[in-house]
Amino acid sequence: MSLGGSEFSTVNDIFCVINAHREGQVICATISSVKRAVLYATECGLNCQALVVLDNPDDITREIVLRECENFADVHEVNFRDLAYSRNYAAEISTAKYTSFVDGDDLWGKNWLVECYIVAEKSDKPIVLHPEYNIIFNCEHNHVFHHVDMDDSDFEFESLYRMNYWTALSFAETAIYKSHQYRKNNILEGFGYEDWTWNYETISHGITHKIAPGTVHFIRKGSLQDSLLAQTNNLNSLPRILNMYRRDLYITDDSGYRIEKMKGNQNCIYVVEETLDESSPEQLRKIA
Amino acid sequence: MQDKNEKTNDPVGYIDWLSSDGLTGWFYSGSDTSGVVQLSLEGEIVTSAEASNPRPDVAAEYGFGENTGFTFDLYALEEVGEIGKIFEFTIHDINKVFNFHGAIVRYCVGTAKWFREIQAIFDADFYRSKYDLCHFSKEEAFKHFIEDGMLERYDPCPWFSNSFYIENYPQNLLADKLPLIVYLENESKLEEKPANNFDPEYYLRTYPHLEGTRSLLAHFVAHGRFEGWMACSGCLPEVVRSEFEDILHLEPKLSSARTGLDLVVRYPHHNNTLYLSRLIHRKVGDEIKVVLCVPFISRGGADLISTFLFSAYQAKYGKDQVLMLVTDSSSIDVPEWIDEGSHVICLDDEATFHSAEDKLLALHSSIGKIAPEKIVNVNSNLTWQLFDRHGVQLSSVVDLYAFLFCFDYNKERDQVGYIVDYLPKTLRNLKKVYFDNKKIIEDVQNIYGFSSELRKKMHTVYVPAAEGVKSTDFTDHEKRDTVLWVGRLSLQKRPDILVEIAKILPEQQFDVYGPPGNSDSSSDIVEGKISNITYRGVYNSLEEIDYTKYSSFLNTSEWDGLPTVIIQMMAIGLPIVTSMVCGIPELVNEDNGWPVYSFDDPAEYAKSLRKVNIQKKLVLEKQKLASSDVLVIHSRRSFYERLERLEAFSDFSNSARINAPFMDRRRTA
Repeated sequence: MSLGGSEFSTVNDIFCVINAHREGQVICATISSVKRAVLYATECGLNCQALVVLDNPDDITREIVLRECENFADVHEVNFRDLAYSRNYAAEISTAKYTSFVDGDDLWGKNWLVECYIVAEKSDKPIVLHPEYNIIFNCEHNHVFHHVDMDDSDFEFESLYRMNYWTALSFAETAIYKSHQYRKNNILEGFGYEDWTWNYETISHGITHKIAPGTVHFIRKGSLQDSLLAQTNNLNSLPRILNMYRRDLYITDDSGYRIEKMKGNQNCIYVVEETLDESSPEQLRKIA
Repeated sequence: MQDKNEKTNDPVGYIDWLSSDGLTGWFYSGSDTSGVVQLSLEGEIVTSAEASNPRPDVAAEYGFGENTGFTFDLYALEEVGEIGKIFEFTIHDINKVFNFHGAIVRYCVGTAKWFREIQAIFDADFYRSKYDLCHFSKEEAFKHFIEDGMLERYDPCPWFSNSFYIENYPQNLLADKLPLIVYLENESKLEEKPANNFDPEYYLRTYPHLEGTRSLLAHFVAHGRFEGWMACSGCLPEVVRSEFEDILHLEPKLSSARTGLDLVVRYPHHNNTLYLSRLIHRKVGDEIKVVLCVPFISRGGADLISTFLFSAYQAKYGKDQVLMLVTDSSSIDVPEWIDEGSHVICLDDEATFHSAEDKLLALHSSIGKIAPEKIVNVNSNLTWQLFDRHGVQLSSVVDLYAFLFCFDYNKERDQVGYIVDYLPKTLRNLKKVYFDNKKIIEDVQNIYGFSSELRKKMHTVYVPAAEGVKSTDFTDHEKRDTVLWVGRLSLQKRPDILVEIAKILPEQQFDVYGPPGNSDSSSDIVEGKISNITYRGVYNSLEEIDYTKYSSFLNTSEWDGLPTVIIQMMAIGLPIVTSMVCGIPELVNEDNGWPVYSFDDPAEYAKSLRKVNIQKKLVLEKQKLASSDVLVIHSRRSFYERLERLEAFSDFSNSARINAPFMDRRRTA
């Protein structure tokens, strides 16, 4: 397990990424759940490294993260204001074989990393792993999602056009996240659901989404992330998955950034976003 | 199969298919005596049947005797071996002269016993989509399944998986037995699952009143799923429950989730419309540039105009690149308005929709997969809803057009309809809106204002008269004694005014064409209760009407666009007596017709009709001008040219969009 301030020089098995924003005190439980899963994975013989990507955080969140992650995780503060970019950023700097994400208000189950690692190592094809169950809490209608595995007999690809099967709290080879980056949400133009779009795109490129049996995530409702989802729903936003909405992606997609400067401050690194200039071909290469 | 109308004295025949009635076909022995056919297994005769059932279809097609049909009782085949085993039968006549061209009938023992359950389990939409049989009707899909698919281990629905059953119960399938039949035979033991998403033991335990049902799976697929019944247990496994209890110490709020732990939701929720977009996409391919959405094709003016637009786009892009989607009902009353070989799909023919929302999602997915460059809406309510909900996204990748005609009014004479409901909130996302008259644009702009940018999107496109309708020779004016009235018997067309006119002119005969409508006078006219009004029903084509007896055409609309029927009647040459509402003055005037300025004054109409009868010379003069006006303004050519000028055929206006492969730039950079 690498601790805060490392230079990611060692090759780790799993890069554990917490995407945080302005969760406030609820992020404490998230960090605790990640620590618990990492500890269990370490006990099972895996090398894990943790990172918190703080995207435009408030003071409370920053303070809690820095305190709770001391001697546990690296913390990078960024100013993307976009979850997709935050995930892409983390994937870019990951040197581990696998990467896994958790949002700053949700919780991993203890066996999440270990069970995913076992399934992934056994797989002879590129896969993305999701928990078998999502327990939804902190809402009026608590319920549980039992996720479908693409190899299940009742998996139906057509259904992906109607609904998103899985959240973004996934586990996969880092190379998959590097080569299939999340697209920036553009809610005002009617497009959102970066995780839904990512699921579709990876499937379209032959990657199988599976579940890790016996695993569970705990998804908090009424949180900031949930508010973003509600806003997305209220605006009749769409994922970019129908052919019609994908024709112009590579022309209109303006996602891209580079790190302008890094400034070390204990275990926190500040990253300044700069959108790529499309007229400059050499800038199409990201700088990690 | 025998060639049509081929005379022969040789025996001929055909095997139709396997149904619940048995294995059916027909056989003609070569003479009028009925033949006998036999089904054999490895040379041994299993059963016989006399070819003597009525087959008028065969008689009509080939000219043989009427009674050539036969049916083998499937239960006779049930005794040849074990349930689930597949056998290959041959079929021949009793004299072994004709063997049905060496046809082999593959049959799985148990099919007859479980035929009705197999029918219930079969989900045609799933099957057509999964096995790329989109051109099959639902009936053809089932025939394919029962004759081939089932024997090839194709899955009939999402709740029976051959691969699941083979993997989990290989001991049941010795001797290459058929999983579906074996499962149905074993289901009552409640020890086997047909797929991971259906558990018969759980289903019966949850719904115990189903005890005694022949097949629980068949019940679920045919009924239970539509009632929202649970197909399998949603209980959390112990390992997950245990983790839930363990992690509570990290987040006490998690305890609120305890009440929902038994409410386990698993997707996907299969429904009949899930596969619609894939089926439609595969039917029409990737070449569609224009999708024209219409509610139905009835005999109304808007319906006619939608076919004119359809033809215009076909002329520009070719039939293969233009699709008509019929969105609100499967009614195409006038198929002759649409060229053969056109792409026309009625949503209601393709799937059964359980809600308006379901249909809207299906329309969006279907268009989204086809990915046209233009969507043109001519009075499709569903498409207006789509423009309303996703106009922002649609207009970023597709040009959206609409064709509108006039305000509608309800019984209280409040303005209603698509202009009121949708135009103000969707106009910013539309590329162009075409109207069939100028007046309506003035009215709309007066009511809503709109910025100059939005006003530039609204244009008049005068629609053409139908081609192929000959003008009538009016030199025999004095022989003509009947007034023609055409239109739906609706509030809008005011047939009640016609009735009043008929009372004022009791000696004048009136003929009425058009479907019944919501006017109070509709039933009186249809039922012939007004002595001098004859209801003629609906016409399929204007050419069907004998115009030689009509002295004039009467229009009593209270509101309208610019009615196509007036354009047609002017082209035919009938004197036009009409109300002057909405866009009608743009075509009819004192020089070419008999305008009635008080649309609800029967006496005014009566006076004009009298003038037509009396002023014979004037009739000929006005007729000449009317024909000329129609030719100039309402020709097919000017319609196309106007559309061209108004960017109906122009390329997509967002320069960022090009037809490129679906790729990620950054990966290729």
